[in-house]
Amino acid sequence: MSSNHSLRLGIVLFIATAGTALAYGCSSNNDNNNPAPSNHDGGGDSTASSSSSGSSSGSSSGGIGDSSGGADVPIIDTGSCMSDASTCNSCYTTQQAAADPLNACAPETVNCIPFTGTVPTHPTL
Amino acid sequence: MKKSMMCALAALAGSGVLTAALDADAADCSTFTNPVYVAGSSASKPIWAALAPTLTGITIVYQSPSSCVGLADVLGGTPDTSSATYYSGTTTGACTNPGNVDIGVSDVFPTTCANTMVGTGFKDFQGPVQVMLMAVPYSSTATSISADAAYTVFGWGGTQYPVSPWTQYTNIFIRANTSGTENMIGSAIGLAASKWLAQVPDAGASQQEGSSGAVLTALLGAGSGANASSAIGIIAADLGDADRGPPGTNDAGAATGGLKILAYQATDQSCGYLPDSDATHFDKINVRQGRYDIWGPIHMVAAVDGSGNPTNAQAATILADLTMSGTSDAINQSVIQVDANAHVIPQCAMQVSRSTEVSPITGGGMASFLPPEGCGCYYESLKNGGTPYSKYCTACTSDSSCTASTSYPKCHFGYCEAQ
Repeated sequence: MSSNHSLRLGIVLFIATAGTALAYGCSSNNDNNNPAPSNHDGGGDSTASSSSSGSSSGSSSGGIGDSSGGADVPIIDTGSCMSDASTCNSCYTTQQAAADPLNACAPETVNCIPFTGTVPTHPTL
Repeated sequence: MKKSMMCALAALAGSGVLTAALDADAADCSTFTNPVYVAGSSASKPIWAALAPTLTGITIVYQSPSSCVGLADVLGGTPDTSSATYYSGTTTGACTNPGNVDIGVSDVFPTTCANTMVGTGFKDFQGPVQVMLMAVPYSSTATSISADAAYTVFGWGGTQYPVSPWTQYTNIFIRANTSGTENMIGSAIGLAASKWLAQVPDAGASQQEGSSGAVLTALLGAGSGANASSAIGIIAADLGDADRGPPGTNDAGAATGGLKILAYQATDQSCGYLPDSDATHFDKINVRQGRYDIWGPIHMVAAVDGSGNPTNAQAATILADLTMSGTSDAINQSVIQVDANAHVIPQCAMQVSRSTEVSPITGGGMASFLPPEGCGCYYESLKNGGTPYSKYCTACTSDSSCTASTSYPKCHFGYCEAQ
């Protein structure tokens, strides 16, 4: 095995390991597995102002103060952890979620009910 | 003789003739103090009933021909021909010969109604937020519906492209194509109101109900039938919320409950949302923050002068109250209570706004909104037994007592708000 090959394999393994760790850290709701907060703001998506898409897909799920366009909502530093969904900042610790209580991981909004039925393919009326 | 007369009266009452006779004896609407003629959305009825006791020296005369017809009435400067109900303080009853409509009330933006435009000399005053629902009998197995499923159910009624469990068109209850409820939901799911059940040749009057109240009655009736799960209907939240929950009776022995609200999953959502945080609360948090999609401000169209002020002074008072403009904090507080009682949402409790009708294509112009005098916590306290649901809410007596968070420094209606 050449040294180049070993180096490439090492890099791949490092990326895979780091990615797995990051995914684990971000995949559960408000757990405490996330990296310690740093100066990097990785949680801005959770405090962004409402989407103007109108789809209400949860993109407007920032904190209660998101009605101000985010100006009155403290930007909560979640370190290097990137939220796994725009609708739910799973990077939050319990304390951070309390400071931004109506992010979509919150009990107020987590009770969504997916439609699980089947809709046949149909033409447009 | 006396007995036979009583029997005759009983028979007349039973046949409905007595009711008609009593209506014929109803007072002329114009004889009430300062009548303001309001016509349009049948879903708005609870608002007028709740508002009337807060007014002094004004009688509301309300007719419910549907949103788009009410708008046509006021823009045409004509009376409405449907039956009229007056609300004078806490007194209510039928009245006759209603005058020209002063306020046309609509659940949808005027442009959503066919051939309707608010031109010069009229203004669209936007009031509290109305929420439209797809609802089923409480015993139904259904809990959620997607936009595409609703499109298919209300388009074909189960006769083609069936979507379980709504496969029996006789249990599908809709409205006429002038209904604000049907137009708003139709706009949300992309199905024009004129096309609802249009693929069901046999669908008739029993599917196309004349009012929100009639849809409610039909759904509750279907709930006691053998195929309750196949039933579905459309209704405004101000009516639907009043009968949400398991069927039962109130203290007066009247039947209550029996309705279940379906979570709604918009076109690009992966999960359906109830209007409220769950099926037992009434906080409308998912509407107020934009996750539940089918809502819009109530539109009240009235004639205005060159400065944009209503030409009818009493109508101006009503419009100022319901839009919470130019009134005192005390009046605003009573209007918030009116809205809460009527199961609509005051604008001051909203965190999103909407500039056009809900639409899967345009998004309905939804944007972030910070009400100038926030009342979200107070509204929630009214809907939750005195305790706001949102964790950020802290009680206060003045701005100086709002020290818990710099994000909520203003004291309004007893709670710290953002502004």
